[in-house]
Amino acid sequence: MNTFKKLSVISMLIFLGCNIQDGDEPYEKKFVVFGNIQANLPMVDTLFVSRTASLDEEIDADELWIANANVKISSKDGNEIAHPVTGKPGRYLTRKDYVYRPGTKYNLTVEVDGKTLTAETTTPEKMEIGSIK
Amino acid sequence: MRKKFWMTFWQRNKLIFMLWSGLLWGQSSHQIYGFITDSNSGEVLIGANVFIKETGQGMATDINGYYVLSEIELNEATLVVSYVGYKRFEQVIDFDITSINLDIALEIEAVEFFEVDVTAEEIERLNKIEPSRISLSPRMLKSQPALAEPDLFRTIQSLPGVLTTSEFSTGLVIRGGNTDQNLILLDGITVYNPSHLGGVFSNFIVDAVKEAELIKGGYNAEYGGRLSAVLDIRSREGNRNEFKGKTSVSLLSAHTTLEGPFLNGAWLFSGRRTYFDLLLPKVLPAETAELIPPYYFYDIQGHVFTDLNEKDRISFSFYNGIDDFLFNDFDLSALWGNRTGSLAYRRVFNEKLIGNFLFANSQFFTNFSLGGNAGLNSDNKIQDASFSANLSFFLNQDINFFFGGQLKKLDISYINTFGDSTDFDLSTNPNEAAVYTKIKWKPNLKFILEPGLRLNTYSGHSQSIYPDFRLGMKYIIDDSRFINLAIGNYHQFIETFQDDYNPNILDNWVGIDDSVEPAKSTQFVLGYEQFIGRDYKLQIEGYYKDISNMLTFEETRASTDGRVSDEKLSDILSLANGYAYGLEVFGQKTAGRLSGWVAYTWSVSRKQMNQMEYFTNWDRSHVLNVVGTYQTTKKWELNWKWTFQSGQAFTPINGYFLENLPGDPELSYRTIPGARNGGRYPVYHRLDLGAVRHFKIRNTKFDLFIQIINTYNRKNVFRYIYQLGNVYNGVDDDGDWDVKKHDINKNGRPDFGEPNVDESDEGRIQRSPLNIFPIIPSIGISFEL
Repeated sequence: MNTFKKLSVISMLIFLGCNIQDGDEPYEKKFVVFGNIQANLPMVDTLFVSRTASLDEEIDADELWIANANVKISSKDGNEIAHPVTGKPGRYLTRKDYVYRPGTKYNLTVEVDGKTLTAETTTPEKMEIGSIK
Repeated sequence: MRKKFWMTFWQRNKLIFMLWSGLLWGQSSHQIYGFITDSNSGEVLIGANVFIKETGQGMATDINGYYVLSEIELNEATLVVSYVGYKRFEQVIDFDITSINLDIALEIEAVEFFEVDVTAEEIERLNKIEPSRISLSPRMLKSQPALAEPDLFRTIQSLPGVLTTSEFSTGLVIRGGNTDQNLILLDGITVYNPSHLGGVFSNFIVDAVKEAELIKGGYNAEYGGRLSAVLDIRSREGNRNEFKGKTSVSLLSAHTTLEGPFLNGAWLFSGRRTYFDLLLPKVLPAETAELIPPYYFYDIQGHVFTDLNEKDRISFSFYNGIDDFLFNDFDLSALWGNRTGSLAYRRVFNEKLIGNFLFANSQFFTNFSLGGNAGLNSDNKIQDASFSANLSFFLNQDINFFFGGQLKKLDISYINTFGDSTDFDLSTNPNEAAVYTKIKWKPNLKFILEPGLRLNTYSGHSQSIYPDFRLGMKYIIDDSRFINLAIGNYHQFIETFQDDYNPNILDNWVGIDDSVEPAKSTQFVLGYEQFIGRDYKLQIEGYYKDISNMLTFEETRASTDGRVSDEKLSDILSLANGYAYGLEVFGQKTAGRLSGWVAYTWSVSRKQMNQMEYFTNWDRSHVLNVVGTYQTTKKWELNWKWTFQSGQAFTPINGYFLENLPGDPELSYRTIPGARNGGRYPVYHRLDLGAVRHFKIRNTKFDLFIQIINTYNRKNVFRYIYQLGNVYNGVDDDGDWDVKKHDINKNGRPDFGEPNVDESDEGRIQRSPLNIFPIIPSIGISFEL
């Protein structure tokens, strides 16, 4: 076998042996929750529960809201349910007279389609202002 | 014991003895030296083959057109000079003195179809170590179909191992290295961004180029400061015998080249301007024309030299190229360009020692603005003042030395502002210096070795010395078959940003600081080369390249984030490593009615960052180029270029969700990216065809050229555009509103009072491909005085 043929065979072996296939990460449907609370106030902004959509999915924005989620906010003082807002699917609010306290850890639990999403945050401590000059 | 001592002493000092004996021996035999020039223009010829017919000893002329043949044992010998396109020169030399100076002017040969002097080419093959090295002459550049005019970078892109970042760019990606990893030199001056927007033209006007040498990898110690490849362009010197001019006009651009004698030398001036900005508003309907931003660029380059005497030459060259892009509708403007100027001095110290000294200044700048003074403004500038010295010492037929140094004083600034606030300001004033030496040694008839060493320093990082070791080797199987090998390590201290999600269109250069390490690479190249018969050449090359410390922008570390400092590079950029390997097959037919090449490349280019490994966004696995010219008659010439490339890597958008940030009453869409560069665009392929008709009117030569770019109108995907749309119905999200229903007055916009042009697919994100080049026929004419 001459040099050229040997090199061709070696090259083909390298070629066939080194092909890398990463592939793309497949799309996976997930639930999305946005919410925020402020100390010394009731829930002002609405808490949103929606889902992701794949690029190929034929769905409008209105259909992404999740209207049947169970949303609960708990702290050392107990549990508070966020109820769906009438006429606005996917939006949830806690009671208007439920005020979030400063320096308190709150846990958010969202149950939807048999899955549970959780998050936690601690509101800032009460700010003491000594004097204003 | 004594014998052993002398044996050891001999082994250790063999090279020194050989050098010394070479000096003495060289003085006792004959030698001949001089310059090879074109008899018409007086320009020196690079790479002309000079050899002694009786013994076969010879060399190719260097970049000065200089040759020296020493150790000629004959008292009478036939000197032969051969160069493609010129009449073969033969003269019997009677060596009545030891050393003869003979400058030779070759006459152009009027041939219908290019013939190659096989004997001469064999001499060249036996003397050059050239893995990954391709010389491009203007003749080769002009034998390809081109949009508007021949282009250096477009030709280079049809060679194996060379890609672009996109169809819209002429930036070169060579063997997996990013565009900033190529050292691009014009007459020895660094050119930082030699591309114009749109991928049609690079900066260099082909009529003003004498030769371009592309070294795709494994280059030796005379080059440094870049990780991947070298493109060394030499501009034409001009005609030292008479005034000449050439002008070319096409639908997109016009250029002219003028040249003539100057003192004991010559001058050359070349200029080009595109006129899409002037032409399109006149030929397109007003509604369409106003959607196309006015864009133009111009290039001017020139060279003037004079010989002070037979040993000394001084020359001055300059280049100025500006791109101007303004889109008032979006308050968008971009201006970028290069300016270079250099003063060069060449001296022949004696027949064995020749030196080139260069003082040069190179400036590159980009100014980008979106939203005027109150919006985003980005300014990037490099001021590069440099001095370099390169010397060649032709000791004897078997050993040549090459050595020199370079000193660069750099001023680099990259400033981003938004309104009155500065996002970041990265400004440095480093000095970069290097010294190098390389030896070309032929220990026997089978081997040529080229070991080299380059020592680099860079004041912007530390006072360390960064050594680069290089080795080139050629094994001569027989007169037509060779094995080439090259190994080397490389350092780079100034780089551009890489953005894996949104590839940059404009380059932004920064000099490294103490917070990051300099980029470095190691390369290994192994190649086999075979000449088949008179006309065919086959090259097979494999390479592996390891790269470290590439500056990469990560989306998670926004430069506008107030929590991070913006004084150091590491605050804004991350370091990524990578590697590339591949196999290239290059079959070329060099002579006859039909000439051209078939080039195939299989390659892999990967990056590693944050414990993740992924493809670079310029990776393409398979590339096939078929390029050819066919001379049907004396008057007609046909040419073609067909490119087939497997899909380029990109980061896809996989999905989306609704986002509502605290305090914001508005909902918006937010996208979900897929794996970094985990997607692939569809296969790219394109056929360009051209025809040239040569004719004469009185004594003026004319070339009429007709070209069709993208002949079968392939809709290649340049990018995917994601129309984010509006989460509320009632707004046309994707711009594909029904014209028949909503544009009664046909002004290209929804009629007054009809803002709601929604269709059934509105209200969600949609992906659409963006295609750049449709089928483009073009016609032009050039004439030569």
